[in-house]
Amino acid sequence: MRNRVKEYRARYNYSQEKLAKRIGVTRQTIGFIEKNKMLPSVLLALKCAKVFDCKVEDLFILEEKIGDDS
Amino acid sequence: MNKFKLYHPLIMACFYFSLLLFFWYIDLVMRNPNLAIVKLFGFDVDLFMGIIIIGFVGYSAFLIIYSYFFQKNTKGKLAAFSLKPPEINEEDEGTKFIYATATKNIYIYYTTVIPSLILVAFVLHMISFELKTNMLVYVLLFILVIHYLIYYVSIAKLIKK
Repeated sequence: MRNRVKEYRARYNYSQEKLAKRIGVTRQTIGFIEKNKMLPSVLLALKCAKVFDCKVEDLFILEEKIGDDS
Repeated sequence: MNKFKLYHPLIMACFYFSLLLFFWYIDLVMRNPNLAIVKLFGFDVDLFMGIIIIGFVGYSAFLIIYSYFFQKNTKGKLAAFSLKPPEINEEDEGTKFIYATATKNIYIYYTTVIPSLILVAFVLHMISFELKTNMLVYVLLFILVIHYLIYYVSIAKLIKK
């Protein structure tokens, strides 16, 4: 999975610290998400999307293909 | 993650290592009393008493300072004699991730070190090697030192990256 948190953060001129404060996490958590070390929970992803006024899919992009049922 | 929580495993590793050295020296002097007094600049110095006093003052001071920082940094979330160590940090998803990674490494360490020690103890038993209690204390302290170092290195690596 790829994410565009850093890109959105730059667009809004937010530091990691500021974003962390707004969504109620530590700065390290933002760092881990940006570096793709850790997958955020649905709640955290939704909070990020709300802060940047976008959809979760705009921030977090699933790159791998999912096999169909048939 | 605050600095106390970050450095807590390192502080504990140093504490147990100093305790290891302290016990080792006392044990050494108990078995060789002539090592208790050393000649320094022509004077006989009672090193044993010196070490005992330094140990007593040092560990008392450590306990007071540690208790102060413990209370200050855990903000009453952990009781002073709680079984939950401060390095168990579950403030948010990031710190939970750090904690999960560090404890995974500790788990790997114990699943390796305990069977290895069982094997060593069994071999020593088979060759009729007399295992003394003091050796058990050293081994346990050493295991604990390595345990805290692994925890600290795991956290430090994740935070510095």
